[in-house]
Amino acid sequence: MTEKVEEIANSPGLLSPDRPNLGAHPAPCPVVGLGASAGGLEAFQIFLSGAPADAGLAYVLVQHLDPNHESMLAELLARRTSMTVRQISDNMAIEPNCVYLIPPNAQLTIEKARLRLSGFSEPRGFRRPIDVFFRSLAVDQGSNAACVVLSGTGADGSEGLRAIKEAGGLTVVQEPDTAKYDGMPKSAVATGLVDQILPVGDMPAAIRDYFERAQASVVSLPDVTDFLLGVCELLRHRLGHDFSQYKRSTMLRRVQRRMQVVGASTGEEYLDRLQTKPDEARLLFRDLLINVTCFFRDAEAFDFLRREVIPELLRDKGASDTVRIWTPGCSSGEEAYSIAILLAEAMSRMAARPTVQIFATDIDEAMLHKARLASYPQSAVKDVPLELLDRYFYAQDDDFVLTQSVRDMVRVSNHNLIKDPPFSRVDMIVCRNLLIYLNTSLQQRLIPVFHYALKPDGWLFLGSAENIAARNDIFDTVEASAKVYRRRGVHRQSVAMPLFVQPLAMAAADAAADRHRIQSERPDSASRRILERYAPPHVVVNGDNDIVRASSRTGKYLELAEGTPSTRVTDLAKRGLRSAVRAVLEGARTTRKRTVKRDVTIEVDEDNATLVDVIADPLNDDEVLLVFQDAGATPEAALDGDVQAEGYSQEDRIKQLEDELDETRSRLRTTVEELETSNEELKSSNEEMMSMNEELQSANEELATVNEELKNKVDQLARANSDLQNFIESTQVPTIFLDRKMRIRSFTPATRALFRFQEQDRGRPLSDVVSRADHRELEALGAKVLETDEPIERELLIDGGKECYVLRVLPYQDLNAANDGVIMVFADVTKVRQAQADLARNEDLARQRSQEIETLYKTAPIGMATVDRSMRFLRVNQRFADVAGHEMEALIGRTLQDMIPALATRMTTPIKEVFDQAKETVNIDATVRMSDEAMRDFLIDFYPYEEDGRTTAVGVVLTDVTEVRRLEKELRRLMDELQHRVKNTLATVASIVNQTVSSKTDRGDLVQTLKRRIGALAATHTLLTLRDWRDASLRDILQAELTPYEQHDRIKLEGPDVRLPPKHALSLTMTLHELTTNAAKYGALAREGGRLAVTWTVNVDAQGKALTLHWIESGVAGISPADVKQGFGTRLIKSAVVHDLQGACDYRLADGGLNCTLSMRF
Amino acid sequence: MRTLDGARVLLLEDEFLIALDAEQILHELGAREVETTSTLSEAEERAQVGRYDVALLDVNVNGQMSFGLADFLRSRGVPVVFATGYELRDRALGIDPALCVSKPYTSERLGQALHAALENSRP
Repeated sequence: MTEKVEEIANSPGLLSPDRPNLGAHPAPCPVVGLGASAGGLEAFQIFLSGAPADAGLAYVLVQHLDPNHESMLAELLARRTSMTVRQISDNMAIEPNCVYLIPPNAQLTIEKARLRLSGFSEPRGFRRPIDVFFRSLAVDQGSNAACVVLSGTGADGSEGLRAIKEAGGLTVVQEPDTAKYDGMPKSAVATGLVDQILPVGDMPAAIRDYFERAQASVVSLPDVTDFLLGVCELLRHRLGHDFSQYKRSTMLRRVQRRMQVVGASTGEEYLDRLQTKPDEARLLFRDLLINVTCFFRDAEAFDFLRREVIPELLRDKGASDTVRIWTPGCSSGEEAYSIAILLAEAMSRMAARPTVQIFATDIDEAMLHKARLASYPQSAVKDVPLELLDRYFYAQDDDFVLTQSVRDMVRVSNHNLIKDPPFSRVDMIVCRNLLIYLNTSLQQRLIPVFHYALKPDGWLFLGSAENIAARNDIFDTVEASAKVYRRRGVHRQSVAMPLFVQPLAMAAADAAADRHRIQSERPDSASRRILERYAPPHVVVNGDNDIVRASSRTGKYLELAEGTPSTRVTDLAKRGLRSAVRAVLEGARTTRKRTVKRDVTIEVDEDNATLVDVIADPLNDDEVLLVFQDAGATPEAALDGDVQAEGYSQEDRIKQLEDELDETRSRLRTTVEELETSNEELKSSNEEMMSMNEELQSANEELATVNEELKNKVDQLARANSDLQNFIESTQVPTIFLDRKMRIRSFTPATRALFRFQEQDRGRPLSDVVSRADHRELEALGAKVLETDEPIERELLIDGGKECYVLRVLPYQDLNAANDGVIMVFADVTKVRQAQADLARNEDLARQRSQEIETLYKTAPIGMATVDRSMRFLRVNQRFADVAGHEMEALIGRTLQDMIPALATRMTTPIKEVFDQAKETVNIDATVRMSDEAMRDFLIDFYPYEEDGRTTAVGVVLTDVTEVRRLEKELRRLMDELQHRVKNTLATVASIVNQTVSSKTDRGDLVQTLKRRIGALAATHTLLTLRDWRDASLRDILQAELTPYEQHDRIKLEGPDVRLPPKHALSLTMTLHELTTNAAKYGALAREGGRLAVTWTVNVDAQGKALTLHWIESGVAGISPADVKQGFGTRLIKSAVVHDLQGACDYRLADGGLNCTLSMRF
Repeated sequence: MRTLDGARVLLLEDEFLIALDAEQILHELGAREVETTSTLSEAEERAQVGRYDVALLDVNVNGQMSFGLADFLRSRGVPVVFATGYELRDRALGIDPALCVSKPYTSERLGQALHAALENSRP
């Protein structure tokens, strides 16, 4: 048969209060809380290095941190794991495979699978953040949680670990030997609740394995019942505890958990382990004892209580009665309040309600505090029936608080069940799950205490695994399964009290003696009689020594004193007895033991004195029984215990010694008391010291943590600093760091181009350093940046503009982003600026050129135009427009054909060719009749206009060559004319030479004659040339010819200024030359007294102008015609004018000389 | 060489000295008679009435061209030789260089031209 744990867990009525506790809001994955203090960084690092990133666990790291210091833990740990490391912020949700870190100065808890942060409620030094978190983790996640306590001093984490354990979570502690600081691990181990003690490196795997086994939550066991019986058998065998009455489901769950921890997968395997490893039984036993106290734990037992016990308790109780109930080991009070609720429920149906006093006692002040608060988490009240919850609780925050009526029933106080005297006369004792922690002998001793405390027929209610230690003699079993017992012995006599009351410390000595004593205690009426008649006189005094009860026959010892009547025994005791009474009372109170003062002398009357023994025997509370007995009469039977021997020596000597001893003891006791007092003081000082020590330890832990972090950070800073230093040393950008007062904080070496910095200049004002820049300007800029917080950029000219820097001044911000100076960064832009200037200059030049070209284009005497493919003008210049006979604007966009039809016919074809071939065509001749009918000659060039390698237009250059052509023709004509003239002149010269040669035989004469003739011709050529061959002055011609012969005013020239055409001038020159030659040879210029007159007139008529010239020689007597040779000269004179000019010549010899008249028209 | 043996020559030359030289050369070449004219109109008159064996005409006479006269003379069977100072232009005008002498000309050159002209006019 195979059963599954889950099935058992879900079986009704069996397990409901003890279901595996996964918490109210289980996180999506198991949550592992890690707590550490001093030395924690290292432990965390080792842990995270070994933690698999895909284990599906969330890790929450709680470290004691300096509240005033920013933690670098996240930074440092993130390097050790590939998991996401988050510093916790409030309300952060838990996710698997993440690491969560507590931030400084915050208290961390977990609620509904979300991490919550809050301020610390305790002052520094008392904070226990690990405990706080672990506790909340236990409540919120239950068995879904694990806790790990790592290195640290102090005890933080131990309490939390207990909570985790109680909630069913896994508890792991670092092996104290391996921890840097072993305080926390040792403390945790000391709780005895640790599942595994491991080196940190082994933890991640162990935790992962644990939760993996938990997830495979269904573990097969061959037969649950047999298996559990086997386990119980082994436990009983090993430890003597019988768990067979323990709830099977609870037991199974605890065993199951233990199997998870040790890694046992089958029942056999675990049973084997129980058998072979003695420790395992102890560990399992301890696990089985872990309980969460909660309301109505063990519902069936409480049900029994409600049904059977409570009504019985309240029976016959009226308003004046009191019901006293004692719950020793009440812990945080759940059971006490559960009982109170049951009573309140029951009483609600009663008319007259008794007073209920429930004494809830424990030794743990922390627990008692909780009990007093009476405020419980939801988990604690999960078994409270709803109607009771409504009636007796109210909600406060997330907790449930008990109503005042219930709280009023419960008195919470500190009481040590083992050491302190028990409460008495109680109706019921509820002591659950306390005895089980105690060993058998202590249990056996406590059961009689309960017996004593209870009223007759009082009830005893124990925990499910507890019993009355076989003391059936004093208790009856009412209901075994509910563990309800009832005190045997109906009557309980108060006289038995002092006898019964045994200091518990003594009771611890011998349980067997107890049994004997208890058995002998049988109060009845006989004993009462004995008490009245035979018992020695005695009184019972309270704490104030007032007599509350007195027996008969006390007059021998007590008497009323004078003054105000008093019931105080110390006042009533007879003289001589008072000091003894006071001493024994004090002794009895301080020692809680019976104290005897023997052989006290009292005066019976004036003569007689008697010896008496005074015995003080402490009763319950502060009451003391004071017994007076005549010396030697103290019956042996009345004195049992350790003082029995006292006073039973019959010898006086011994008695005397014993008295002395008694005195000494009394003194010693006083001394001891004094010592104890000072010891108490020392203890309390010690406690103070301890608490101070804890504070110091916790401060020390924080410091150690901070120190570790700082060391790490310092290393990083050193590296960063080194990087920065290298950067500053190597950067080529001049940079200066200045503080708020413009003092040099730092600078880069490149600044030496501008400043004469020395290393020792750091800290000196910037103005102290020799600089090529203007200090005042720099400082003013720095001040402005400091003021405005805004960066400034400024251009600096150095050396009158030879170098140029762009200065950028930026605010220097410290780590808090506060303005703490300025940074000046200089960028050398000299070359950039030069290039910019060059560029600007070139641009200017280009613009100028462009303008020149544009001007040229506009004003050039050649026409220019650009034309697109559709023969439309894109652009024309003024000259082109002039030629075209249109305004420039009128041409743009129009076609050539429209605007210049005459030229268009000559231009269209070349333009098309240029478009097609992208090659220029030049010097196209065009003679065109223009719109004004004038013929014009043009030379036209065509150029392709290219853009991106494509001909987009054709440029047309039109040169008007009409004038050039005309000049060319004129030149050609002039050349022809010149040739004609030169050739004629040469022909004339040739003729002169021919004629002269043929008429002269004398060679010398020939040369002279030729020279003169050609010279005359040349002279007139000169005159004509001076006048551009237009004409020559007649007077000039004559003067040129005649001047060489002028002497004594023999030559007279007379006539108007007349200018002769070239042909006339030349013809007349030759004629006049021959006349002159003749005159110089034979005529007037050859003889003394000869005279020559040349006169001329010009007549103008209808046909034009006519020149008549008279050549008249005189004073030459005796010349006959025979003397005149009919040679070439004379022939020329007579014929040239006639032939050449169609003129006339009258040539004759008169008395005085030759007369020649030449006439011609011109 | 007496090319112009016994010939009557019409000479048109407006420069007296050149005309004088031409007459002399023509006589040396055997011309019996040389009729010298100095203007185109005078030469035309003579050409109308006179009988000439050959004519030597200056192309440019006082700015007037003698081509018309030459045509007239040729139509009357009179061979014509031009005297000119404008060789290049005249050649461009289509005048036969063989029948053209360039001033100043020699008797030899003139003789060749006259001979050619006379040869051309013979049937």
